[in-house]
Amino acid sequence: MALAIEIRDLRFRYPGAAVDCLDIELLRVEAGARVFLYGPSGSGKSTLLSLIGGVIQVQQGTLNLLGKNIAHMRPTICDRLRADHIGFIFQQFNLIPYLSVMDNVLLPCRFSSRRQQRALAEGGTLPETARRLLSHLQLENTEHIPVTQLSVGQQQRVAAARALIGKPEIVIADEPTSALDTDRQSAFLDLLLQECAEANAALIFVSHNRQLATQFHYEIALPSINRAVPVGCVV
Amino acid sequence: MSHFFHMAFRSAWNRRLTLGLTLVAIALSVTMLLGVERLRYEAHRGFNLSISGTDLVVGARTSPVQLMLYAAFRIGEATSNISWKSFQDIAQNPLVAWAVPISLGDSHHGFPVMGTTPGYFKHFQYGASRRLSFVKGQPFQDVFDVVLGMEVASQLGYAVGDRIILNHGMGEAGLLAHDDKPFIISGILAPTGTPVDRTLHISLEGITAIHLNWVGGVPMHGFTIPGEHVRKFDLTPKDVTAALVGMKSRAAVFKVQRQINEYKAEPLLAVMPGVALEQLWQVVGVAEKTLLAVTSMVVFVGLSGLAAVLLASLNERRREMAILRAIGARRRDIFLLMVSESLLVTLGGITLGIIFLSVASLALTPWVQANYGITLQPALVSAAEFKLLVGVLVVGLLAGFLPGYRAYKMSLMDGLMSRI
Repeated sequence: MALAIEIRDLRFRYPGAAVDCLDIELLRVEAGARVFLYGPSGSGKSTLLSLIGGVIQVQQGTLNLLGKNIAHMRPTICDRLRADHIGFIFQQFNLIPYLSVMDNVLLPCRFSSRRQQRALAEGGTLPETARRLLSHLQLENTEHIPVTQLSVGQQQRVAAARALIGKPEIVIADEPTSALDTDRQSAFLDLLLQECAEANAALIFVSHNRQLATQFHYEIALPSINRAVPVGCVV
Repeated sequence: MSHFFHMAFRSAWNRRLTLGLTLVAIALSVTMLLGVERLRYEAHRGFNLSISGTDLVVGARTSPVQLMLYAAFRIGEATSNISWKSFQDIAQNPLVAWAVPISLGDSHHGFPVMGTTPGYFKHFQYGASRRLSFVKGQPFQDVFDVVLGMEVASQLGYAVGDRIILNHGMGEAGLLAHDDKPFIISGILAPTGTPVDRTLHISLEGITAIHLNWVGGVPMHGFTIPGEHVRKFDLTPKDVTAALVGMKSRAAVFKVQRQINEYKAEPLLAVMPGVALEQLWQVVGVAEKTLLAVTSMVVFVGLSGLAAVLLASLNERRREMAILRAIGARRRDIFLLMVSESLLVTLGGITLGIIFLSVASLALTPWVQANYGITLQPALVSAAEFKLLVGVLVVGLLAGFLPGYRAYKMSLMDGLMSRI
């Protein structure tokens, strides 16, 4: 099976820090897999996600993104890969406050022509594709509402639509449910899993709440694969 | 790229209050900068055009600039006069084509009264060899005829045939009136955009007539000469303030100038208007440069304010930057986002500044014209002003570099920053 992400002998140390933040021998995520990445705060989750996204540069080791090693790649190429192949959902405040729901959802298509083409390939115009995605996420008739007037749950679903538009191969969700109450957590998770399955995207779902892990293919505990001392990530 | 500017615009619109105030500050500073430049240009242009047809200006010995100012522009007052004999000698010089005497010192509601000969209307030229023309009436013929400049007539609402009283001395209030000898308006001149528009022209005989019974600047007590009797007196002037002289051939200017400057009977000064104006600009040049420097500083302060506002906004926009990075924005894009915002505000400031200036110059034209004799031409942007504006734009661009670089650095440091 093709690999979405493969990490081998990866080490990362923040400039000025005495010890490594990350030291991972092996981490693999297959294409289309649904992975629960467990990690308490300070265990290097954000650093790992920033590395996978190519936002910060790999110092040592191999990081294959869809078969391409992004270690030592030029930053602009990493930016392009991230725009083309990865959708991000954060804990909260995911949306650009001055853009409409529609503009927020379509933002990845502005930065990536590949995502734009894939969104268009689903049939119809970009707004139609976005509207379809929004309705799948139970956000009918919200496209013109200022995003600041949406509830937190609605905002997270708009963020999910944005992460999914143009069918990226990888979706990274960093504690997307921690700002939601328990009922809404599982509802959001159901919708997210369903849409990732439909887009055939690998989902890396990061959380410290292990109760959510049951619906995933497997769980990776970051502390168990990261051989570095946790203090290295506190900067 | 268009969506990028669209987003920069939306982002800026989201912070429209702070950015708007900054934009207005920049606009006002640009108005000042352009205003100073425009006034400078119009002053030069106006002065140079006002006396274009005259080869020499002759007066009592003083500084060339001062002579030019009072003789040609009615600014300041003459310290002494030249005798009628001297004037006649100059006029009879075989190299001189024409000489027109002028006699200043009286006024009417703040407008200067100038005594001269009918030759003034024939010989005086302004602008590109343009001569004076009448919109109504004709040159003065009688001793108590007066010819008005266009602005005097329109501002005071006078028409041909009206009777007016002249005052002794210059100024608005507290002047003694020549109320025993009213003048009748015989003609009104077409507008010229020069000091002529603000002048009342009477004959030299008229000047002599209204001062017949005056000694030492006041009327003799209990002694009046009614207007109808003045013609019994010899009204030939004893002296005049200055003379405008035209040559038969331009080549003779230097020779005649030297002859006048070496005139034995009394100390005279002949200046070429262009040379005297050049001296004037040299004197004024220091002030002009200082003004330009000060207004440039004001623009710089405005643009520093912009840089400060953008820097201050960075913290609240940290989240926005992180989101854009996660979606695929390059670090360069983050930098450009800040720079394009500063460019947007600077451009807006420049545009608004030009609008302010146009409105201000439209509103102030009559006032500037009345007080300084400078006509503001309605114009968009001249080449010199355009250069200044390009300078402003470049500095505005640079003002965006600092916050742009900070944002760039911050986005490196923050990574994906999922928890801000």
